[in-house]
Amino acid sequence: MKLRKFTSDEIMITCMSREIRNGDIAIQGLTTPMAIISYYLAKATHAPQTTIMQLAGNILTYTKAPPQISLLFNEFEAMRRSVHIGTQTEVYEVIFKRLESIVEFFRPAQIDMFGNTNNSLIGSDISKLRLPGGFGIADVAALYPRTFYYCPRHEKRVFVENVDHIGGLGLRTKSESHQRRDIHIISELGVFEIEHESRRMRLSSIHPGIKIEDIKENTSFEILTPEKTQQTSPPTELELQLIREKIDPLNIRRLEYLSGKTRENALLNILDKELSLTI
Amino acid sequence: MQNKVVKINEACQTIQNGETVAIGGLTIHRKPMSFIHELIRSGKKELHLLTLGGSIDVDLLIAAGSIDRIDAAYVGLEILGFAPNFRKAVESRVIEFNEHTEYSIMAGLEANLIEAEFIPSKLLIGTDILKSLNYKTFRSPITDDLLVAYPRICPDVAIIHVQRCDEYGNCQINGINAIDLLLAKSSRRVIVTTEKILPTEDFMSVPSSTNLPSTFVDTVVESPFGAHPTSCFPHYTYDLWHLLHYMESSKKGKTENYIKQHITDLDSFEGYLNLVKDDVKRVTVRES
Repeated sequence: MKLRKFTSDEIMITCMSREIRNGDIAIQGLTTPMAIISYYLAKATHAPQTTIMQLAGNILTYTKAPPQISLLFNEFEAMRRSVHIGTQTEVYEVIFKRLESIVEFFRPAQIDMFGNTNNSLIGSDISKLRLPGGFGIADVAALYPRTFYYCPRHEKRVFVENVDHIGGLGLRTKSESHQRRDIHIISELGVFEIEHESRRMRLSSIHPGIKIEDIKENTSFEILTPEKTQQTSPPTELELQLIREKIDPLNIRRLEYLSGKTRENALLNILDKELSLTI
Repeated sequence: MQNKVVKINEACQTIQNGETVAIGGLTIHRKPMSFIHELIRSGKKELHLLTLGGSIDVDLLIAAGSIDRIDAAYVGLEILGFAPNFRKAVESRVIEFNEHTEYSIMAGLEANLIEAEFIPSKLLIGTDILKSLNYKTFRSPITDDLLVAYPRICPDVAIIHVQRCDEYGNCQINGINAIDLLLAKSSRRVIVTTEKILPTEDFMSVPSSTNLPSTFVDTVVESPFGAHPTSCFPHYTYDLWHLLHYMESSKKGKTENYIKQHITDLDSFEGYLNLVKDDVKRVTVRES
């Protein structure tokens, strides 16, 4: 892999941001810093009229200049720019009423070739590995005309042949009600969608510097590829500057890639920096 | 209207072993932690817990052996990762976990509120979450479409931590709201723990800020910093350092030590606040 001027989190955030249309309502669920960064980026570039509902959607926030995201003061930061605090029931009322306009990026623990996702448990039986749970993913994944997933780690254990427990419903069933749905997946290697005819995952574009072999080696099933592979447009200078300097100078987005002790140290490092700046 | 203020141990005594207890807040936001400590200190057993999103609240009650069953859409420590005791107890089947979604909890509570046996909806059809919940499907008598019957969820008591209320239980909840109003409306009894009890006059000047009125509240307990180590906007943010320390001690299988040191060896939540006063200070926002 040749040296690139941007990191995989940056190209992913750029791709996520470009899926947002001007005037959309962007909802942030639990623990998804890359999602909120992409919403702010969209709002600061091509989609200034995006409405953002933060912290599982309860808090409706308005902002002109892109704000800096926070790890320690996530709720405080959202509240500072809030115009309304709703209830979770109301979030669903907005979803039902504005289905066509909703954008929400989910992070699945597993996704399969049909676009089914799982955040419940890994292993064929409940005694295997218990995950925290999908919160609202299963409710709305089959409801949204456009469903979005992002996978910072494109690995075989994430891109599995069949998910162990279906939460977010893909296009495996032929039932009519699901056929008009679009499912988009953005990973560290490329952008994918579930093709309607075959109901299988297909490569839409590959990130610069990534080879088809990289995708094949890190996916447990065969991904459909077009004859001529399209390359993902890299982030622009403006996009990179906004992400690095304005929206996430503390590099909170990197936490989505790390695990174990490395992650804990990175986390403590960010917390100490934030603490020295505030309170 | 009557004064509903009692001490936290008196409020806790009203809870019977085996009852279904609904916990307000969301994950690491505005959890009634002082009351969770009191439930553990008083040795409650066989509780059924219901919460939209749980974290250290659920995890501590599991480690203390206070609960049999948990109904939730998420149990984890958000950006910090897994809830260690929850994971262990569910994987080894020590407790029963019903994985819900946001909607399945809201629909169940809504059904209870309107005294319906269930609420019909198309949501979750085709998912394994619906299978695990073992909810029944049926054909709509109007369109013949397949529907899910979301059965009523009936909490005996809801515990909700708020920023401020008066002695009658008129509450102003601030910050992330979750489903606390629905929990209060659909639970048989409601216990509110509050950062501050203020004169009713303070609420009369801004009635639209009272988002949980006294008509839904049975008991009021004053409990400053009662949500620590979770957040209570705008007074203090979540204490990620303390939560990391908790996870670390649990990973080594020493949650018993944490519980002993922070809860059962102490007489009250004030003792805990004194023990962790540097932690509390670190996350407290200075009043401007």
